[in-house]
Amino acid sequence: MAVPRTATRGTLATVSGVVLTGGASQRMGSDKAHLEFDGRPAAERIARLLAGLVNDVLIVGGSPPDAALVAGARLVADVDGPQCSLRGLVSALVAARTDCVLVVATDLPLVTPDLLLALVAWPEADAVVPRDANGRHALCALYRREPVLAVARERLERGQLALGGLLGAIDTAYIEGEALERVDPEGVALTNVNTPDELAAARERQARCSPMRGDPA
Amino acid sequence: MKTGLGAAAALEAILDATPVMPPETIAVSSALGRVLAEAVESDRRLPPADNSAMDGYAVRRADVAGASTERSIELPIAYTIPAGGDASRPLEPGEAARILTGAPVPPGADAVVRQEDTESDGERVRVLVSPSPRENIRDAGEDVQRGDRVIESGAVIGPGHVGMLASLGRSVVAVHQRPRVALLSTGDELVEPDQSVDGGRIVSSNSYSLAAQCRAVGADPVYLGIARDTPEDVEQCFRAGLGADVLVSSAGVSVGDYDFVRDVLEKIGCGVIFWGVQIKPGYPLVFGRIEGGPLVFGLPGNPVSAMMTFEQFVRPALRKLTGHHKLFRPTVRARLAETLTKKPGRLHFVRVELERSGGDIVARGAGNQSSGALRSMTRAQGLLVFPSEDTELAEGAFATVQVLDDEFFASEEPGF
Repeated sequence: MAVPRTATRGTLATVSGVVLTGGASQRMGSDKAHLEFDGRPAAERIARLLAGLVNDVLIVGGSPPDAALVAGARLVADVDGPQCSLRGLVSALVAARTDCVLVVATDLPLVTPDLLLALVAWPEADAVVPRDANGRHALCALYRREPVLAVARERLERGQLALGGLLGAIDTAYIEGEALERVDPEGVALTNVNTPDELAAARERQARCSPMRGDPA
Repeated sequence: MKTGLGAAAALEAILDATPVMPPETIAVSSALGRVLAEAVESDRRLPPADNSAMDGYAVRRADVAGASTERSIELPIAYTIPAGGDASRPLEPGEAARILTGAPVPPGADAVVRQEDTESDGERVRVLVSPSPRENIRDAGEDVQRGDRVIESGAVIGPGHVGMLASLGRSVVAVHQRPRVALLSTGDELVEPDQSVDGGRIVSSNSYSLAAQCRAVGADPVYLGIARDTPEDVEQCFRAGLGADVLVSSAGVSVGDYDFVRDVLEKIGCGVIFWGVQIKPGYPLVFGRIEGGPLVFGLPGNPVSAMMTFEQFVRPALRKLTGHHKLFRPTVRARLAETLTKKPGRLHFVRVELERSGGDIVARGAGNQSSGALRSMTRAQGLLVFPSEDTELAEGAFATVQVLDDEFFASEEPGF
């Protein structure tokens, strides 16, 4: 319970940072937001990283640990609708205070400031999404609130829940290939942790890599 | 759509259409000034255990009955209990325990004799008084009992609440979200403050004063910029604000140009609830609501009118959105330093300076009352309410004043 709330505040005043914690965590067998990584719950780790970059930090959905509410961060509930990533994204865009919204799912504990800053700095599009050999990472992406919210909300209401469909329906830019390698040379930032085995592999992988630059934790 | 409403009816229509923001959970350390969206109940007693109010000695009263300066009673000091120390060892008959302020009182002790009423060599203590039952002992739960509702939902979180929440072991708390207010100005003549005013251009000060008014009430302003006087540009600017909780534009709603703004409002799906309020300054106020979207306020363009209509109509709506139960400024009854006159028909808000004189508060006009004279808003500490049908308020009479400036209640004297 004794949580120091002294994380450095970010400077990107026009960007909100969102940790999505509302996933069902079925394959993990426990709430991924609480999964400790380097001694901190995943949600807190990502919230601290975001708080180092932006002023408006949100955690959306689920029951993240209190410690994830770093200075100034706020926890908001999901909007009504079927439990899915699209609902989390809509909830994030509804509650964000700025037009640019960085969304990071809580199962990406190795995400780096370099990758997030690259998403922010990419030439303007409705969405900026990393794409690698594993495909598109719609839950580690930058969204522009106004154009995306209307489309995403409508798709949620219609039951068109696939995020891929949303990305196809809006102006989406992709960071991939060399551009992605430049900001994530070790190829770890988008490591998705859905199962205990993936968690163990991610921990091993991270232990081999250099410390995260700019990680306020 | 209604036109030319009275001020009270306009306010009622606005507040009827205004929801309360949903909750968000934030760190207690960030919660100052926010409105609580949950009732806080205690899961513990405060203080958690009987503890000492003084540095001194825990005793059994029976052992020191009748003690006085002339007839002191000496006891061995069995042990010491510091603040946060362990008090599980009972105090046996015939013993004293050294105890510090805030330390838990050991079982068996029924009073604490303060240090000043004793003499000690470190191993034994001479007690010089006979304490009364539970003297200098703060009882467990004397402040808060387990299950007590300590803070009601809707409370505005002050420093005391922050401390209490922390004492209750709460590091996070649910509060109402702050509303986002999209601000835009319309007018070909408007420029930003750092641009040239040659050729009759005017600095768009409204966005700045309105943004400041938003912040002062705990809302988040988002500036959308200046829209040019074309339906296309105004529509584009309005659309950029559709994701906000409240959309506020200034200018473009006077009689001459209202039709074109109304067309734009209809085009973006805004149901206009009323246009025009019987007040001065600030008649041409438009209010509407976009289904599933923001409340929409079209304020007049004159700097004072824009601020005044925000103050009287937008501010209470923002207070309601933020979860406040009391939506309005404090008011005082003030004595007029000069006679005021006006025509009947509209409620006037007169910018006044306030001063204390004798037991009264005295109100004096804060200069030029023109709707463009912004300087009066820098001087005004209050807004004197001049009722719509009245034509004269005589010098020496009393009138209601909304107090704008918290500093009016500040004092150069400590009060003790």
